[in-house]
Amino acid sequence: MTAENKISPQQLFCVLLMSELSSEIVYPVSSTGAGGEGVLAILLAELIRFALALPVIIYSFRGNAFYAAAYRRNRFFGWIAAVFAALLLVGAACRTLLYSAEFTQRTVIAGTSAAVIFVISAAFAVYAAVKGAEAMARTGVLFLVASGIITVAVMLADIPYMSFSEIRHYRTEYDGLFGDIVKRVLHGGDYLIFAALLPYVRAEKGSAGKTALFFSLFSTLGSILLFVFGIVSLREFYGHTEYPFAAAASLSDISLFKRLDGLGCAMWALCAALRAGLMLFGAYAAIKEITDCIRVKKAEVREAGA
Amino acid sequence: MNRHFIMSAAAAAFIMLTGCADTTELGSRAIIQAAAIDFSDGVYRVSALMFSSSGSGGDVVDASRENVIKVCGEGTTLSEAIDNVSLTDGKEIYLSETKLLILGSGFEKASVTDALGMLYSEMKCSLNMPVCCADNAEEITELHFTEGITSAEKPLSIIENAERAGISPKTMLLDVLADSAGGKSVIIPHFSVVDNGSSVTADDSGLTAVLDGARIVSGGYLGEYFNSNETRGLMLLSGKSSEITLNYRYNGTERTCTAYNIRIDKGESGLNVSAGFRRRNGGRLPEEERQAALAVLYDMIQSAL
Repeated sequence: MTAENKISPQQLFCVLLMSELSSEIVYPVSSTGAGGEGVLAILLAELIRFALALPVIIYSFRGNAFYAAAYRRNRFFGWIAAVFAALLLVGAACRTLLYSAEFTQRTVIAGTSAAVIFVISAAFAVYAAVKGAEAMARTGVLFLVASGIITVAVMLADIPYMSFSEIRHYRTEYDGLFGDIVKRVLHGGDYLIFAALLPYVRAEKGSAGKTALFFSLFSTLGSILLFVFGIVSLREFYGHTEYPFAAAASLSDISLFKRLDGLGCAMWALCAALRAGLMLFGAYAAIKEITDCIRVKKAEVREAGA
Repeated sequence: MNRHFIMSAAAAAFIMLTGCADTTELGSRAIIQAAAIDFSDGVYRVSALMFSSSGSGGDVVDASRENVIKVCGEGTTLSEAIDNVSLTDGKEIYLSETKLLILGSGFEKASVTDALGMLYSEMKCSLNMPVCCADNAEEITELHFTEGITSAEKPLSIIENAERAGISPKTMLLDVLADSAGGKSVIIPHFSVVDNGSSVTADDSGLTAVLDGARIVSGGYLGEYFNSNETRGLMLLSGKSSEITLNYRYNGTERTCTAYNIRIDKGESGLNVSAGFRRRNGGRLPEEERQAALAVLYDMIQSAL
């Protein structure tokens, strides 16, 4: 890990949004999560994640090194927080890569082994993490813009197939609500990326906190938009497909590119690989905050001794 | 900046190289334009019309020719039958560009939703692929239509024209899968082969396909047949159309008009139908003739109930 580069709050917002939306698309959807239940699950899951991340968000209005601050307050608690966050991030990165490999195999390159796709994606994620925060932030913005354009094109191309009139018939039994919320909360990890990237944000005091608030709002809106898009395009078939975006994108038929599902899925799979890279970098950054604190402390002790 | 460039280049390579993982030359790929599936005695028979410019006698596509070759495959499962098409043709089957799927009458006993679900999830058929049916599906693929770049386009244009006129639905793979998943019935257009054409096909038999009604897919299986009049009524009842052309006799003379803004209320008091009427040239209908047109419309909807 070589980078010590800084990123802007806008870049932080973009990579977080890219990370969240890519997980919405490449993670398989449960068959229960349709209708009003799905929207409620998105809102409640975001509320829970926001509540869990509240200490970090509140801190981000005052400082820019969460784990170092925790270490300075209590060494043991600081270590536990950083190691726990690093483990969660590495686990989430592996999970993202596994899901992403399966998604890519099922939607883009059916003839290739998921293990091969996993290895290529993992290599890309590690390479991205080694390149550091700034390179990932710039690439993330680029990916978000490219994926966003393709996604909007898919949505526009799907308008003739959308059915808004039958939306009232969709499931609203809420019998799978709890399971959906748990799954969505476990999909997370974006606030851990936020906490780990805080020391790299080049910003005036408090702007990182505002970034977290904007991310919370726009990621929820983005998730709801993708969900509603899937529902109105696929209707009752939504709950019968694991990857609703890929299924809805297979309807798109723009004259030059014909079906946009391959291109859209490839872009979002790439975003997911970068998400894994961000998580690996976040794990490194969380531990590094603590080790930097120890190094500074030792240097201070040496100076005092001298 | 350099890092940014390297990462973007790596990403671009990552995307573009995915195409190299599973390459098939276009010439080695059987691009199926239309497929007919019959089911009889536990055996699926797939008749596929594959795009072939050489079918017209050269590499340049001649739009006046049918530009397709027909290959069949049989199997005890649908996927086996499709694989056998590939064995017969010697090319990798490509169903993503299939423009029309015709189901045979055997699907009263074989599950339509299972077959279509497999075509979507395993064979990568588009969810917007139109689906229709015929008593003998293979018969439709044997009509060598000459209009359009390939002979598969003619039945599709018949369906699309009928949908615009409110006569018959254009049902897609998604419609069947979504409505079946929701426990609803869905109507799919029905073709018959008749002898009333001339120069429509490459041979001189005079045979052509006609859209003569629809069949319902209910509970995952092909069900009841509806004639053209009943299908129009079903289109109105299901909300797939709200405007239709009526042909009737009034005071002993032939009349025609367009019914629009058709509203149907199936209340406790019985069927209530209201609509606006105008002549095909846009003129107004006298009140007495409106009543006659309304009676024809009422009968049409009643027949579909």
